[in-house]
Amino acid sequence: MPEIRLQSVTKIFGRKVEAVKDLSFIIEDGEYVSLIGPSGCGKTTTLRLLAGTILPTQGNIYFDDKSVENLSIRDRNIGFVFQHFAIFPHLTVWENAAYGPKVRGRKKSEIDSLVEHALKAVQIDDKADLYPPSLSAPDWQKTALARVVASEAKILLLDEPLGALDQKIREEFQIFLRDLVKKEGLTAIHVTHDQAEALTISDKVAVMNKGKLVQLGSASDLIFTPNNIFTSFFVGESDFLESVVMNDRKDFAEVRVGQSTIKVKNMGIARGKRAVVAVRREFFKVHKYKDKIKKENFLPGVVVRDQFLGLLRRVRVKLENQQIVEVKIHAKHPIRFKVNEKVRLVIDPSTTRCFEYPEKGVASALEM
Amino acid sequence: MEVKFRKSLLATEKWLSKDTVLTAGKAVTIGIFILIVLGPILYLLFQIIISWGDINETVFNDPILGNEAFLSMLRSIGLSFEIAAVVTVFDIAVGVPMAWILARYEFKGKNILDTFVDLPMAVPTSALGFSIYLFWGTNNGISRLYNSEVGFASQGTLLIIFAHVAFTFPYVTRSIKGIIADLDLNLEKAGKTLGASPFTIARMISLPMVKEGLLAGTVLAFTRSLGETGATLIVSGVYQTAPVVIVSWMKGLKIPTTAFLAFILIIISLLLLTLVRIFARKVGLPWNKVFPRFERKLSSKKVTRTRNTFSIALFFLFVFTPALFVIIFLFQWWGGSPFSGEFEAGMIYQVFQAPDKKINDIVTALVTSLEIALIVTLVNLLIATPMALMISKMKNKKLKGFLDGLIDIPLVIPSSALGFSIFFLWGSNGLHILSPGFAMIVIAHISFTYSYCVRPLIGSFDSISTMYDEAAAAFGASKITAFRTVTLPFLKSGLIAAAIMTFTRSMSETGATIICMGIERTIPVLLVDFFEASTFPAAAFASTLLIIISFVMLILLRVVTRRKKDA
Repeated sequence: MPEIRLQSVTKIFGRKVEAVKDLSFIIEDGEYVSLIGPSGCGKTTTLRLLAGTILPTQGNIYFDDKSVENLSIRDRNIGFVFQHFAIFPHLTVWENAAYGPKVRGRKKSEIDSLVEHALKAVQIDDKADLYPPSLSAPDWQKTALARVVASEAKILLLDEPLGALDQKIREEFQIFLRDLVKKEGLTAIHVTHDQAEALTISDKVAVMNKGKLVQLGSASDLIFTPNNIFTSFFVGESDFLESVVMNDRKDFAEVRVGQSTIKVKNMGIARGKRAVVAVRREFFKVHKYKDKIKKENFLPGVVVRDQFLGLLRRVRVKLENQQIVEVKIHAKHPIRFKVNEKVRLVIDPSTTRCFEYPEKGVASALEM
Repeated sequence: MEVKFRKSLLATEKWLSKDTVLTAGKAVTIGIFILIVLGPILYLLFQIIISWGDINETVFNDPILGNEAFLSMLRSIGLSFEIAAVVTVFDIAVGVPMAWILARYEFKGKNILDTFVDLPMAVPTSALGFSIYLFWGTNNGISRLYNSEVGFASQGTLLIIFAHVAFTFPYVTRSIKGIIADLDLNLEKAGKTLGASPFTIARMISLPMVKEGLLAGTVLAFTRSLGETGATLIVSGVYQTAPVVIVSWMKGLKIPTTAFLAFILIIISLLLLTLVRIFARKVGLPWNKVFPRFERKLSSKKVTRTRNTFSIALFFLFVFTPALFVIIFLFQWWGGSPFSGEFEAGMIYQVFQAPDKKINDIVTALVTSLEIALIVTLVNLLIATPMALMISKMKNKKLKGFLDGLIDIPLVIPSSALGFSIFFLWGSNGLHILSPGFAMIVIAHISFTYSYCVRPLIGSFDSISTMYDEAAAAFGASKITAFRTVTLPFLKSGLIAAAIMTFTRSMSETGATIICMGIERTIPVLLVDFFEASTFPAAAFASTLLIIISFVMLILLRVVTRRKKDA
């Protein structure tokens, strides 16, 4: 029944490369958690800290309230799935799966039943006697998973496990992997650079940046209610409008962006303070300036470019304050916008987020 | 039963994986290295310094000879260097085009040519030297073509060069063939689209990329020529190279002078090694100037074909035919002299029927050689594997580079000098544990084959991805269990290759063996004895035997390394 707890974990490489800074979070028993973030954000380091291949410089890690400080990778009883599989080419699929119980000195009958169960669970029992070099990448991945299942590890650590698979197979595997983890009752921590994969496969996603945890939440939390600028930027795409809070009401706040005043979500920023309004690019509505619509809660602007991106179109609009925002509309949107055409960007307050203005500007909050 | 055994094995391995035990293992590994490689050399240096008085007297101020000993040392060292230089130039001139042919052309018999190129490296040099002497130096060989009563060349510098070319040539070809084959052809195509001729491309684009391999091969060829004893003993006559002088002074028991010469040779070799290691990366190929017209002419089909034909012809004339001529000689002299028909001069009589029953000596020496080679190989694998693992895994870059350099020492020091320093440390002048004989030969052989074992194993370890180790650890395997179950299977072909290299090297060495052998005889040394007793047909019999053994070893090596490539 493993619950994983990181308490103020810091890892410094060499003298001053802080890979992970004061990281604390809890992963509950049976949860599937993904770690995402830009390269070098510390997600792989976190995984390696959990595995025990490296030790924290400060802080502590607990599995079920027991500190694992003094447990080496051998004794933590974790299952590790590597990006390049790391299945042993000189052993058959069966022998690969049997490796864990074998080196832990289990009885032959126990090994047999564990391996049999594992091979069935990952659906590779028909290839038990084959050697990995004669198999395909998805089968390598299944072998790697069978090896983990047979080892009876309750914590599964996955380092870009699907990174070496083709896109189509990867999507199938996401479902397969989640089902397997749930069926076997494992707690899984999954590192990936593919945020769509993370949002699909996990119960919760942890967004990391510069060695720190930025936000931990479900997929819909991260997409619809990000609680900081970095998450709104990194998970999906948002435009950031610099503004000043004019009025705070019960349901919404009024902010001034350039010459216009719009209503946005009230997130408790005091009147008169500078704020950053985040709007996801898909949530804007674009209308011709002359269109007969209800003329409220919009920002006027001028089209800079209207460009196809496959299923979507990207419209760049220059606002009155000269800021250029990007808006995504469906490719089949009835209007094709011309350059220099005047438009209104209509904003639904409930889809917006409103954050305190960072001391060093928006760009500083987006630094990776 | 089985479970119990496995459990106790796992427990033992777990104990062995403890940090303290592993540290102790590392200490032992380095200790052995010091005892058999570094120690003897250091002891020799130390002794030279503390008994400088003795040496001063015998080397520089002998009451009768004055500094004649020193002068003859300088002469022999000078000769060694001249020969090594000429040999290396020839090796590069023919070896580079040959490597190019083997890497880039597809033709019938390419595999056979490839094996032939390697063959002289595996054959004991004394057999090789003998064969070359028969071919160039007697009236049985090339001089038959123009009906001469005497050989083409008599014993001396020219024959030494011929002999050295034969066994050093493969080092250059082998060290760059693989690299040329792996070069990115797109770069050459890019050169072509920019209008460069193939020769210019080869010179300015491809060769700079094989620079390090070429340098490594050249250094090996040079040091092998500088340090060779067996073949040189046979073809040198009165012109003695430094390693041969060591052997002959040692036979005359002139210990202090021998020690001093060995000392000088070791110092020179170490200097060479250091220079190469420091400058290897910095050396540039000197010519960036292009001569488009001239080089285009050099690239013409005619010139290319002539060059290729020439390289292959030179190889067959100077390396292949002389190296294997002894087999023809053996058949010529099988049942009697081809000149007089006299039965007593033939191989059958000399080996099997003469009163001294040479066949018994041959069998005894062969068994001794095989025993020594086997023990040396096993011991070396046992002590080289942990060393290679340690160097490969070492995190401290400086220490790693330093140890890595130390490993090459036995490779560059003439084996007779190394053998002498072993004799010096372990024998009556030093620890007084051994007297010359079987055990001392074994230690000497372990010493000079050490690099042959460690060097390729470091490569094998480096090529194994660390993720397998991590995977094994994640599933609960202790370090030693992981090594046994995961690393060793990856290492198998590398170990076999290292074993075969060590075995062949041990089987074929002469210089160090003569110094450490006492009354024992290995087969290459016996061959020298036969040669010195002028019983050529018997020597030819022993040579042919050795060539066959080496050929089998070489084929085995090729099978093993090829399988590795396929996997």
